[in-house]
Amino acid sequence: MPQLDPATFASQVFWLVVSFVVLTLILWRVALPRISSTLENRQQRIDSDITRAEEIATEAEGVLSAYEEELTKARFSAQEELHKAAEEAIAETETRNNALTEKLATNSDTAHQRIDGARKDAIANVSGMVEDIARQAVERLVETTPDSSAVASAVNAALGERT
Amino acid sequence: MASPLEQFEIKTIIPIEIGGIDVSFTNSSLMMALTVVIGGGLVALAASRGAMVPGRLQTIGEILYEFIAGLIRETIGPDGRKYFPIIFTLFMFILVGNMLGMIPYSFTFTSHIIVTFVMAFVVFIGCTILGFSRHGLHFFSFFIPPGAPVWMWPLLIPIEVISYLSRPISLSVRLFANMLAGHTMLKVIAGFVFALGLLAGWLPLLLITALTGLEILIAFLQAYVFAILTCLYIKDALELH
Repeated sequence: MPQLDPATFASQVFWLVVSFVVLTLILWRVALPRISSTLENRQQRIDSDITRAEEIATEAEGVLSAYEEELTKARFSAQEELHKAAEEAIAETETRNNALTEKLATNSDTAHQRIDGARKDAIANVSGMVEDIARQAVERLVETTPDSSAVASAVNAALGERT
Repeated sequence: MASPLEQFEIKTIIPIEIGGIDVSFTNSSLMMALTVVIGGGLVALAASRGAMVPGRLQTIGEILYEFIAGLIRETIGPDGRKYFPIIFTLFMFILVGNMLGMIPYSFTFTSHIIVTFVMAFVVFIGCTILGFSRHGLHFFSFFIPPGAPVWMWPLLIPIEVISYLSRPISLSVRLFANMLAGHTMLKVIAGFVFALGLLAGWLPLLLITALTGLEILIAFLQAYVFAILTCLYIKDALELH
């Protein structure tokens, strides 16, 4: 068994120590610090990216809530505006209605007055004619001239009953 | 036919002698040097770009880094950071050595007990020195199991001392025996392929294919086990119990 030949031990141990020390120096002094710093840099980069992403997310949330607030406000004011407009319209309708009613009322009043006047005129005209007719009728029937004032009062009384 | 143990023979490539001691550059030394070049080169190359978004090679380097860093974090805790380079080197050295040994006609230097024993012994001595420097003579309390009644001590302390002293042996033999057994078995079954010829040789060939996969797994696993046990020994030295 070649493993048990002590003649080769010195050489094996010697080269083992040499190669192991060289490998240790390469890894310890050159390779590992670089990998370590690369990993650290990457971790830092990832961490800072995450922090920034979180900041941006918070900002976006703020903007969103502000937008929603604005939207609610705008809706509210729009409703108010609408309400006001509706009220104004109602008020205007009312005033116009009132004005129209008033105008109609005055119009009908004057019309009534005119009608009344016309009727009185007509009655006055009619009473004159009725007096003449009555006098002539009396002259023909009883062949006397009646007292004009008595005729007038009789006619007036008769007409007054009609009106 | 050649013995299945022939693959473990040390063959001198360049004879060197320092102070009367034979330190020739052998096939074992060649594989160790290749391990340094490939293992160190791979990680150094993976580390060299340091890109924010890693490429394929850089990802391999980072996975190895995170793997060992996680191992240390889980076993030793945050105190283990300063032992990271040495444990990473141990892991890479054994891993690449085992993997290179899987290449046919190459040589597995971890299949030699002297190599694994020196590594395990250095780990053992290092942990013991660490324990004494941390705790002084109080380190001896490590051999008294916590909560054991005093009258049990004469029995328990020798057991604990023996178990502690056998650590370098178990650590080195585990790796060495796994490599030795695995490669011997592959060689024996490969011999069957030729012995049975075209008629039935394909059966051991199938087996050897499957076993090669298993051996690659073991090559990784043993490197991992060596690293994790080193971590546990360091933890014992730091915290005693």
